[in-house]
Formats: sequence, C-alpha cells, structure tokens
Amino acid sequence: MGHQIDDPTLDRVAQLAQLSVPEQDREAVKTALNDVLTLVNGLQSVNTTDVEPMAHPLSIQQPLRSDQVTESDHSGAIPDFAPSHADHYFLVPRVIE
Amino acid sequence: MTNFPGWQVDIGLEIHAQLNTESKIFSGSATAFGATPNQQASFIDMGLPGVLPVANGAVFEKAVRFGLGIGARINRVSKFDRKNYFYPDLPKGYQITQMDEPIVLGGQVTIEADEGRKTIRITRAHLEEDAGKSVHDAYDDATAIDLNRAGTPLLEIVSEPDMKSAADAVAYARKIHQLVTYLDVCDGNMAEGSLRFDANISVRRANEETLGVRSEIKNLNSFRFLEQAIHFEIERQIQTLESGGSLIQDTRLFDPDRRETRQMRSKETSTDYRYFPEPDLLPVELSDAFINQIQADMPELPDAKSSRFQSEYQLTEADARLFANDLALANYFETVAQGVTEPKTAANWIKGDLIGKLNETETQISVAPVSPSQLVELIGLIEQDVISGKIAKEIFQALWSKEADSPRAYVETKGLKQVSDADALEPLIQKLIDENPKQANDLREGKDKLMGFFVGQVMKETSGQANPQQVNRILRHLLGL
Amino acid sequence: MSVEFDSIQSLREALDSKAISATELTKHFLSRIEQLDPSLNSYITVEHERALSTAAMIDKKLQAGERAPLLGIPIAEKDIFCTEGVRTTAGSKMLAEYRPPFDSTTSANLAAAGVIRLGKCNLDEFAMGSSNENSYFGAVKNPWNQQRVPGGSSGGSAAAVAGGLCVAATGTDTGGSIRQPSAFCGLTGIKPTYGRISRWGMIAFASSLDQAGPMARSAADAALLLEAMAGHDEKDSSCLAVPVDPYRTLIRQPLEGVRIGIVTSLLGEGLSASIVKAFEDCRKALETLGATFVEIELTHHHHSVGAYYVIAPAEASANLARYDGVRFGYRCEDPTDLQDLYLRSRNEGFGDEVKRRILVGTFALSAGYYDAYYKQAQRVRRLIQGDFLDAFNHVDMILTPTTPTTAFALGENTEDPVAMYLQDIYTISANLAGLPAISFPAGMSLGLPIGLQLVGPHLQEAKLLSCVHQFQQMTDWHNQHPRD
Repeated sequence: MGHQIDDPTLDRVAQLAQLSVPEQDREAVKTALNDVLTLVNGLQSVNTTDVEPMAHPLSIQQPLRSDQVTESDHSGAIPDFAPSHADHYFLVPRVIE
Repeated sequence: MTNFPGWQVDIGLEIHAQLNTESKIFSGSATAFGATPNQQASFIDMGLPGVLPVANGAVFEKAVRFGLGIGARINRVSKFDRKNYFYPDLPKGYQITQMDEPIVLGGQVTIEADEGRKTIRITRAHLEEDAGKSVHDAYDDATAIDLNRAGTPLLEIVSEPDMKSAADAVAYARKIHQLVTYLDVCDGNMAEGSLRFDANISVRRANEETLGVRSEIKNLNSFRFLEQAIHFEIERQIQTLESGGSLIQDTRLFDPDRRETRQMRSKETSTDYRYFPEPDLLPVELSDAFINQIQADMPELPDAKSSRFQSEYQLTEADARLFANDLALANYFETVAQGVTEPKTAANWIKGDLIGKLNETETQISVAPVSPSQLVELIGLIEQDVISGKIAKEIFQALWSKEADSPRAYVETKGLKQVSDADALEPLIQKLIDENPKQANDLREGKDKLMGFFVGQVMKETSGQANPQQVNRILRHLLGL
Repeated sequence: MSVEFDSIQSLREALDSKAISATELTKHFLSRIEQLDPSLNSYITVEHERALSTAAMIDKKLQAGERAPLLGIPIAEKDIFCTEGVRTTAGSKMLAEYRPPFDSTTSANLAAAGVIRLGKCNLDEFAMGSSNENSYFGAVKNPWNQQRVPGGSSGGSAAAVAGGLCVAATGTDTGGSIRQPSAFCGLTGIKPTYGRISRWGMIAFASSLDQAGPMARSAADAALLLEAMAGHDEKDSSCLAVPVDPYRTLIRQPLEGVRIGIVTSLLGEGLSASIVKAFEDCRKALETLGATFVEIELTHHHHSVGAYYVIAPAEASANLARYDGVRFGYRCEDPTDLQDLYLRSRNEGFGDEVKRRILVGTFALSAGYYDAYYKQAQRVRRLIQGDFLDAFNHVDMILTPTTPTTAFALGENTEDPVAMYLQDIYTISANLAGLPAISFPAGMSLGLPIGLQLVGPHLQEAKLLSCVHQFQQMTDWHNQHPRD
C-alpha cells in the first residue's frame, strides 16, 4: 500500500511546480503518476534501518576556491538570450508585493 | 516595552548578514556595492542552463569566526540544501542554503535591557546565497530584475524568541551588528543592505505558557524601522485579540511611510520548500586545525576591549565602553593613545572634539577628515608645550576643514608657537604689573581671582600664544607670591 | 569514397598521409547528412559553415605536420552540451532558439583535441526518455530499421553514428541514455565513472546521476574520445581531480585472469531469447580470451528502477525550475502577470514526459512524502552501491544484458510510461552507484543489433574498454552497419 495522487494532491503539486494540468488531461496525468508511484512503492519494503541516505555517489569533499574575483561584466550578453530586457535589466510583468 | 498590561510579547529575529568577501559564495563574481545592473552577474549567478556552483572557502572561515564569537558549536561537516520556490529574483528557482546541518549551532549574546543584562540565545547560523533585486518602479508595467546581489554570501543568524520588547530586539540587533563588524565578517553598512532583519512576533496572555500565533515581518533594514515595525505589530496583534478577533500566521512587510505592517501579496507565505541535499556541492569537512587557527586568531571582542582600555589606558568605564562599542572608533582611539604620553588626553580630544564634529557633520569615523596621526601630532605639540590647548583647538578646526595638513607645519606657518620663554614673557608681565598697580596689589593680598585678569591681559598682548602655566609662574614670582 | 564507417585509426592514417583532406571528409559527411537525415532526423542543427571553416583550419595544421589522434575527425554532439553561439535546445521547445554564451567543458575539450563538429544531435527532451520519441524536434529513426526507435535519450547521437552521418558522437547517460541507444544501434558507448567528465555546460537533468560519454563504432574509437573528454575541471565541484588514464594504450591489456561476474537472476523473465543466446556466446568468447566467470548476487538490484524514478525526477524538478520564461528560453506571448508568465511559459515550453517527471519529482520531495520517497530512495541507493562494491571484492567487472529486448517499434511504449521506464532495468543501477559501464554490440536478431553491458568499479574505464576491445578483436558485430 502506498500513496496515491488524488485531485487535491495533483493541484497542490502542480502549483508548487508552476505547471497546470488542463481538465481533459487530468485523468491521464493522474493515472500516469500513480503508475509511477506503484513502481516506486516497492521501496517501502526494503529494510533501510541504519542506512544513511546517499546524496552523492562519490565520497569526496567539496573543493574550495580562493576568495578572488574571477568574473567580468557579462551584462552585454543579456540581449542575446533574454526574452525581455531593458538597460541591462531582465524584465517581467509588474510584480506587486 | 509593551504598554499592554496582561500581555507578553515574544520576539525572535532572523538576521541576514552579508559576508564581506571579495567574491560571491558560489561564483567568482565581485560583491562590491553600487555596480550597474547585472554588471556583477555571472552566468552562474544568472542560472543559465549548464552552470554549476563552486564554493568560496572564505565564507566558512567567517562563519566559524562568528560561531566562535557567540560561543556556539561548530558543525564539522557542512552541507548545503536546495530551498525550492519561484520568484523572478531567484534565478535557479531554488536557493542554495543549509537546512539540516547549519555550520553554527547554539550560542548566545548578552544585551543591556531596561531590567539589566539579558541573555539572548541563538538557535543556529547558516550559510546561504542572497537573491537578486526586483525593481518595481523603474518601468511602466514591468518589474526589472538585477542579479548583482544574487549569490552574495549570507550568514543567516536565527535567535530564539527570547526578546520581549522592541527595545530588546533593537539591543540584540545592535549587538549582532557590533559583533559581525568586530569580527570582520560583515561591513555592517545598513544603508547598503549588508544587514537585514526579519522579525517574528507573537503575543500571549501573561499567564499563557504557549507562544501565540506569529507574524513574520520581512526585510527591515534599519534599527529605527525594526523598532517601529515591532511596536506597530505588537499593538495590532493585541488589539485584534482583545477585540475578539483571531490572528493567522503570516508574512508581512513594513511600510516606513505609513509605519505599519501589511500582509505580503505573494502566495509564498506558506509554501512547501521541498528541501533536499544540494547534489552539485559535496560536503565540506572542517578540520580541528582549521577551527583552532581561527580561534587563535580571534580579534578582541568589545567587552574584553573595554576592560583592557580601562586597565591599560586608565579610562573610565563609560569612556572605555564608548570607544569599545565601535571598532573603527576603538582603533582610532588606540592609535592615538599609543602615540601620545597621556592616553587621557587622547580620550578627551576624541570624546569631545572629534566625536562632536563627527556628529555635527554626520560623518562616519572611517572617513573623518582628521586622521589619528594628525591628532597624535597635535596632542604632541601640546604635550611638548609648543602650543596651548586653546590654540590646539583652532588648529583642530583647520585640520578638519583641510586648511591645515600637518599641525607642526601649520604652527610654523602661522606663527602659533606658544610663548613660554621667560625672557620674552617676564618683561611683558612686569609691564602689566606696573601698568595695573591696584590689581597687582589686590592679588598680592590674596584676591586670586585677579590671576585671571593678568593672564587674560598677557594673552591679549600675545594673541593667545603665551603659555598660561608659564605666565602664572612668572606672575607669582614677580609679585613675590 | 566510402569512409563513413571507417575507424578513427583508419581515418587518421588517411588524413595524415593526405589520402583525404579534413575538408573532403567533412563535405562527405555533410552531404550524407543532407541525403539521409531527412528520414532519420538524427540532427537538430547541422553546422555547415562552421564545420567547413574548422576543417579548413585543420587542413592547414595537418599540412604543417601537426599530428593528434582526433585531429580532423568529424563528430557530432548531443544537443544537451552548450556550444557557444550555436543553438543548444535540449530537444525542447523551451530552448528551441537558445544560444548559450559559453561552451561546455566537453565541447571545449573536444575542440582542443581538433575534432570537427558537424552539428548537434537530437535527443529526448531534457534527456528524459528511452526512445527519442519525446523530442520537440520529432522522433529519430533507427538506421537499422526505420520503423524502430534508436533508443534514448541519446537517440540522435546513436542514429547519426550508426547511420554513418558522423564518425562518433557524444551522449549523456542518467539512467542508460548512452548505453541503451548504443545497444539498439550496434554501437560501443560508455558511461564513465560519475565525476570522470565535467558537467560544466551540460544541461542538467539529474545532477547526481548525469554523466557524459562517447558513442562510437568500437572500443578503440570510444577510448580516443573518452581520453579527450575526460579530466579535472574546477568549474564542476563533483569532477574528480584524478589524472586521465591513457585509454588508447590501456585497451590492449589481455583478459588473462580477469574475473567477470554474472547475476543469474537478471537473465530470466522479460529478457528476449536472442539476447540470452548472445549473452552465452559472449561469455564463451570471453572465456576463450582468458576470463573466468563467477556467479554473484546483487541483492537490491531489482529496486533500481524504483529508486531511480524518485531520485531522478526529484533532482530534475529542481533543475528545471530555472526554465520560467524570465531570463532566457521560451516565454509565452503577452503574459498578463508573473503567475501567467510562469504557468504558460512552462506549460507551453515543456513536453508531456518532462511535465510528468517534474510532477513526480515535486511530489516525492513534498512535505509529508519526503521521508518515505526521496530519503528512502537515497538509502536504497546506498544499498545498491554497496552490493556492487561487495561484488567487486570477488570480480573485476560484471556482465549483464544492456536492454531487455532489441529496438522496439516507434509508438510501441509511448502510451505506457512505466513500460518505457522498464527499458532501463539493466542500466540504471550503474548511475545510482556512480560506476562506469559500457555497452557493446554482441549479436544480431532479425536485423537488429544486440548489446551487452559490462559494469566496473570506480575509475576502471580502462579495464572495461580493454575487455570490449579484446572481444572486438575476435568478433565482427561492431563492424556491421546498416545499408543506406
């Protein structure tokens, strides 16, 4: 027995991911997601007492760089890829806090 | 201080201190304030496809130093996590921060409260990257995003809700400000946003054990706003509850013009951040040697410095505390004190003339027009009897206005040398005695007040350059006193 | 002239002896691409002018006597590697017009080695897929049989090499995306140890699983590419600061005394009979070469797919949050406010499989589910790695199938995401454990290639390559290629 994705969960998850699921696709998406969860739910049966989660496959330490400025001004490249820009700013629709 | 009897207030502060490193925490961009839009935003800071973070070693050193400064436990293994949410000034759609294993755990500071000394406990302090800036009023119908600030290293310092009033909170905030500048961890420049406060405030009835529903006031960037926001918020919460209403846990912004807090519009107030370990960064292991070295190199903290100023320079507790409170001021004082014979003189000049002028002109000591070495030279001239104290004050003004550069040279040029030479003074004083026989007689008979008259006359005749002690001595001698 | 299926060594000799010029070679491939790619659809961007100008520059170097293993060799790169000024799409509408302002380290390394990049290859969108049917730029066909998929996500790279549209190509592998298409297309493709090759400029899918690698016609060719691609890069914190082995010389090591593990439980149900037979034949061949086989167990192996389909989507959900229409990439038309900008740009910019995985990943990380899903999966991951590390106390490498079947038909698994996911059942565990793994051709069935896989201990790419190289000295599967 594992978790299932129902409508409220789908809405909440979609909101967090900034995606929307059109009405006509909802059932198909829920089914697809629940199929994945069925696949995944087998993990629940594995005895993992005293096993540390593994975030990295390597057991190395983080290399540290020295505190120096190594970057130059890249603002000139912004017009090459920004969907909306002005005066080296990125622009988005007005946000009201 | 709450004016609401029967209620108590619980305040916790989250302080974001920008670490004063040269480059950002995860990229080699500059951190200097005041650049043009996106001039200091590298491809890593912009979160372009394919970029990866690389960790700046200096941030760990500074975080550890802070941790040691508050007597906290240092986490030997430091790891990073992703905090996920959407906002235009958060380029990757997540912030790299430390959730599970912050680098600093526990610790405390003491503050001077109305009721006496108070301990404020610190829960944790962790490293994270700052977000960029949203500029809402530069363009019609658009918000402009500047990512210069994105990636600046922050130390987020989280306190327990041990503060019980706005005054407590401001005292604590000031204490942290002092500590981080003292420890050379943050430049403490509030106007540039180097230190920002989020205040968590809740109220409860005097006999209630559990804390009330709290509001978080975000992004307060001055002590004044901190105080005003807390006052407003306490009142709002108590009035709401007293009139039978209820409070919800929310996030608010302070409006300094209206002096009130209001709920934030964005829906991020209760979002699920889905923290998980940052896969692009490995854990950082801090060795004992590393931490011990930082401990050994710890600068003197304000309280210790104040004690030392009292014992080493014989300052009063008040003066010692005054100087020790501000690192730049303390260093200024100490440089001068070490260059003159009598540290007390240095203290008086700094306390009186220097600080007076600084306050009058709203100048920061770090950019004071009179340097420590100039002041040392000036005081030296007094101590060597070259000039009188009165003349020295004139010279000080000249130094401040940049009319003079070297006190010694100025004295030469303007011929301000104190006249101490008995051969020069004696004839003059004798002349004055002869010209004022009645006063001379009164003085001989014990009317000491007339000393001032003769000294004043001598000063007039010498344009203030006579050495008053000498005048006094010669006068007494000539009068047979 | 029929050089399109020649080995790098053979082309090297031709170039160095001036039997052919780099320009002629490049023109040859460009014309084949023009002729054959309309039906294969293996390239998203063909860099005609750039390739020819690079070739001209390299011809000058060759004439001046300069010699290097990859100098003048035309290759293609999976369109997930950032190439400065040249469109890099990740197979997505989200980046359909995006030109990166910097090069990936892999691309820069290969350019420094003197390759001629013919273009950027098609792929499943954001590397999510096992058939290259998830690309915004259309599906890729398997050159062996154009009703079949080439595999994915590096399907374009595989089809381009297999179809003789480049000499070799780069791919990326998160759950099998180099090895599975290599198997389907009769190529030798290796996913090196996690951290062997820099991920700087490689558009991220799942950060702790992604790794770049070469896809070529032989172990010898793959070795040359791997040598050029690999190496320390301080821009990638997870990139190992370990010197690169001289793979091209190390591949000649004999197999005498090499112990190869097999996991019998992996050879049962679900594996097609032709692959079982190819496995047995391969085993016999390797025994002839001096290898001994040892029965081993990988206790938690059957949980690989489950663990992967939590971890990979979880990391992807965060890695793909930057695609929000704000700073680069696709932005919806006339957004009314910020929320509209995000929702429409992301909904319009991403394909269905990508959206599904983002939703699964977001769910797995969300409050209340994080411990049961994400954390549990990462614990199981450690157990899976532990099984391999234990096995490597007894064996030098492990032989498994690469895929459960040969190339399936276009459209066969598109309605059933989970059936698609199970294609990766043999390949995923190496990504979870960060181990190097290679797929190599070992048979044919009904005109379709069969691939087998060797998995090795960390940083033992040379051992894997040499085993395959020895196998390729005595078999001919890798020399076969589809007719045009």
